[in-house]
Amino acid sequence: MEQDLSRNNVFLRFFANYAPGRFKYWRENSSLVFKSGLKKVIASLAFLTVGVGLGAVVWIFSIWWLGAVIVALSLMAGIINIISFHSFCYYNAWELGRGNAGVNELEAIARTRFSVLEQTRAAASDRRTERRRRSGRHPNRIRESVLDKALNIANIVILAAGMLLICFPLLNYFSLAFNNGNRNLDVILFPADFSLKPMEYVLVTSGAAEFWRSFGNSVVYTALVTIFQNLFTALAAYPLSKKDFPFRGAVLMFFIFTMLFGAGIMPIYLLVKSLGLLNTLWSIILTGMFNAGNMLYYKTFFEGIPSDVEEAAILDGANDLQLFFYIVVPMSLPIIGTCCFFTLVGCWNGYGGAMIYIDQSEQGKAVSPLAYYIYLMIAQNSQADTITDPWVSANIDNIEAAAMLASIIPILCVYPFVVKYIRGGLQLGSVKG
Amino acid sequence: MKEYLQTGETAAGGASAPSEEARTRKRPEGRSFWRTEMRRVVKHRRLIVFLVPAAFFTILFSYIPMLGIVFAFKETINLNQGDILWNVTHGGWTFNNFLDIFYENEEFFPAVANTLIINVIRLAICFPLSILVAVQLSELKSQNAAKVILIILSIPNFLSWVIVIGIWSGVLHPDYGVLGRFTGFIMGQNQWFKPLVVFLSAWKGAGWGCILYYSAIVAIDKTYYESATLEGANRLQKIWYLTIPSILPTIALTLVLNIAGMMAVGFEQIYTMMKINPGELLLSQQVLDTYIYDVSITHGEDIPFATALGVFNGIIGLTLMLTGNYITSKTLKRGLW
Repeated sequence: MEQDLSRNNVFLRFFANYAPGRFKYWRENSSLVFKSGLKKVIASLAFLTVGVGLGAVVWIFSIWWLGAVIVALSLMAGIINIISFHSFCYYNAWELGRGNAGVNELEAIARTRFSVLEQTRAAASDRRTERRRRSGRHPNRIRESVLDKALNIANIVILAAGMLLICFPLLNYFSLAFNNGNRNLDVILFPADFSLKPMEYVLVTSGAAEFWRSFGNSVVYTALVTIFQNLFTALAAYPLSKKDFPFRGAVLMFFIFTMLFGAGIMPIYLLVKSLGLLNTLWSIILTGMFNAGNMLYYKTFFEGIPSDVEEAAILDGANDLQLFFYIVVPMSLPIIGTCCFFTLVGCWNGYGGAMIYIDQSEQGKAVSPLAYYIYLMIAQNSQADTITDPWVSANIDNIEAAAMLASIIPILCVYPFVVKYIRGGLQLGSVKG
Repeated sequence: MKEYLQTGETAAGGASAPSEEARTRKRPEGRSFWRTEMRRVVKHRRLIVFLVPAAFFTILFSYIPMLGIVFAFKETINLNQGDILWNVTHGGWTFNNFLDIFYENEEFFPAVANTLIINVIRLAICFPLSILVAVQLSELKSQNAAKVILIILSIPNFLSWVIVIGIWSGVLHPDYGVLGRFTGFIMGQNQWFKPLVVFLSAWKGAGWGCILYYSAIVAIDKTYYESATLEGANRLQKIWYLTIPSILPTIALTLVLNIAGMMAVGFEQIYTMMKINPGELLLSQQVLDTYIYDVSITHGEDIPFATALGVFNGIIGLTLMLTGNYITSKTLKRGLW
């Protein structure tokens, strides 16, 4: 057990060494063990000092937040280093006390295990040999032609330019959010005059009520649509994935026809109006309850599930509902994850529906989702000079940037958790499509 | 339809091959169609319940509005006088609303022209761009780096249109923008409007669009490349004779989907780009979607005309989709659905 923990988890590796019974050995052997890794402690302290010093210099003389980051990082690295070393010594004292290892061995282990420099050096030399082996000093290897090399370089240059084109506006604009009354020109990549005031304005003080209201609207809208749209869509796709479902072609056509032909926005608008849903959140929630395009993806995926599994479950006495929720859904997580994420991003970022069903009155603003709120904010700011507060009118760009940054954070938080599923789902799409 | 196209770009799926389907769905010999289907109804009676919520919302928000097509044939609809049913049963019928789209209408043809121009340029630039980026990524020596770059390139796709436009109108601001100071690109200018529409589409969508092609390229068997190397093919030859033909079905399917969606330009993007600029609404840059929106929602008095316009647009869309499906099923032996 201890072995497993120490192998897999860094934190447990530290703390598993502090087993209660080992304190006796530590008291006896601490000086001996400690001496074996003294160099390591010194290196660690030196690293800490240099890092903190460098950070402090940067902090005082130029950009304070960069200095703070350097200080924090070096402190963290130094402290983790020392803790890990101490816990290792604690463990070694135990080993030594039981006679399992000699001092020299411990010294060697400590050196290889804890010297960051040596480890990186070893890894680099490994990589070098590997590269040398791969690039082939072999006499029969096929040389890369000059053209290929040039293409390679051009490739890297173009991709780097593309990355720059993506990253530069993002950094430039979002660092506006941490500025005090600066315009875009003053800011190149980092905040010029660092200030949390615009963020505070949007999230805490004057703008907060509207921001969090529309944030809440967006959360409700996105959650309800993502859950129920995918539930209803998958539920509808499941029977249609059965080859012998009655009137399968007709039912399929019934759903697909809605993607091919729509009556335009006027009749739907009038319908929503006569249902009394205009200027409510329900208008955009209910109109998004089903997606025929996603149904096709679900159907294609369900068709690929081997029927043996379902037959086995039926033999075990599962009914259709159990079959769907306990067998089919767990097997279709890639497609469910992909479709849910698409729906989620679409709802969070989309405001086309809101533009149709929700107007710009006070009642409409109370139910507007976040993207629509930002749209209204920007459309109004660019047209009217109705702002009375001088600080707000000086910081209007910064406030807009802060609101935008705050609105994309939830999506960026969800993305890492679903990226695994998406890659699977897309690969699926590419194989099937 | 728009939603379908959006997801269709990213994960182009499709039904399994028709021949296989026909084989498995074949009904037993000597039994009538209705009898077989009724037996199947009895067999799957519980599964039919699964369709109820989807069918309910489809009927409510897709088929009931289709009944609203009759509005397009009314002379007037005045909701102040009575409710919609009253309006449908009273008042005369006419076909003039459809004729009004073409006659005495200065906005319709520019809107169609703008739609087509933007879409053709976009097809010519954004569509090959995704493929190019995907090929470039696959040619990188370190595929881990390629995955990281792919994630970075696809970040803009997760921003909403209003944020993308906000960012770029800030960067391109003629007085304060970092780039706008030096370049002449301003979103509010008529001559830069269409290029910027295409550029922003590329900026937002290229990275995300290339994920599909990239995963198709990664799935190609590596031994082909090794044997091509042994045969003495250089990099360009490998790309041209190996990579591109291997992902050709994916490319063709996406192309047809794009052509089928020719009439939809991305309403949110263009309307926001129009609204966000100080000054006039750039009436000359109106596209079909924004024109319909303006007629239906912003003005909203002329319900019969707005309906007629929507129906007309729907018919064009239907035609394009059916054509696209015909082309794919003929060339790729696989329909769009």
